[in-house]
Amino acid sequence: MTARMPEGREVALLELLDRIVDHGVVIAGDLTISVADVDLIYLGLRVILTSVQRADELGMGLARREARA
Amino acid sequence: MTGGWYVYAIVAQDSQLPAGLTGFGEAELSLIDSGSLAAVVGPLAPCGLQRTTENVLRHGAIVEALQERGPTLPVRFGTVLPDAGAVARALAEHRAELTADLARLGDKVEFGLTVLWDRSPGGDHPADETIDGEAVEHAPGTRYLRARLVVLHRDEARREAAGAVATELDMALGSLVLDRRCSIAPTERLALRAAYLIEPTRLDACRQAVAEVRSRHPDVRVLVSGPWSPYSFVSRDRTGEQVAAGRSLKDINGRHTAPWTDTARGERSAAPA
Repeated sequence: MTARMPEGREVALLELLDRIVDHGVVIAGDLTISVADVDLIYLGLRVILTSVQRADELGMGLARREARA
Repeated sequence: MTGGWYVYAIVAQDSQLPAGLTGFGEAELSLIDSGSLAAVVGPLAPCGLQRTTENVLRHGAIVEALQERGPTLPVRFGTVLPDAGAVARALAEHRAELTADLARLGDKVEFGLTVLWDRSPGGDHPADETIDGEAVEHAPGTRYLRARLVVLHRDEARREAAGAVATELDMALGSLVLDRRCSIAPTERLALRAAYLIEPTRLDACRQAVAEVRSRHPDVRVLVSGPWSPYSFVSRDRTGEQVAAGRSLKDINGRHTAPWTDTARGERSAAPA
């Protein structure tokens, strides 16, 4: 299994979390898993985005993964 | 005794699972067939599953490993059905659109694009009104209305500038992109959040196209992420409501000068209105 992300790429991590949690095929009307830390994921995304200049300074501005061969 | 069947992804009925790939709790994965489709599932422990970052990423890694093996539709995190029969019935119930999605998206990837203003267009404060060098005093009601007007003008300027950047990106990405989901100026700081559906081989060309647009806009920050499995483009998203299937971006490029229009959620797809 290959890792999607280089280490330290927090923006990319949060983008991925957002997709997996909030998108994708829904085949069941009633999802049975319910937990509390989803809002934290979104909060984290906002925090990252509002400090994006700092992220750029840290070299995180262009989050990417090597393309598959 | 299990806590149900966790569904990771949907693949073609004759698919093979990658050797050694296991699910939550290192449980063995299996396929539940229904017609030409199969769901990739694993048993859950009776205690269920927490939506931790680690578990969410595990789900994503399993979907990615499946997609490296063959066409795969990512299922949203947290899909659990009580037994194999319920999984098969769910596949059968949505067979037509799942089959179409698998053909449309199964071997595609998406990348994310976030554009932020370095400095929000439209200015931050109104200029003071003066007559012969003396500041003009307004009554409180007038001051309130004037402040509201400034906000409206600023929002309008922000949306207009964000729309221009989005159009420029559309033009630059052109035929490299198969489809996209885009939200214009969703917040004061954000000019654009978008996901673009592409062939995996087009990723570098897309990055190059985005970099060229970025170089012409020193006033914005551009974040590119991915490639990801095509979570943002499935037809059965959110609460199961059907999202309009995407169309070729070429349809959009012919009308790129049209005003940006949003749905109630502030998002729009590449499908023409």
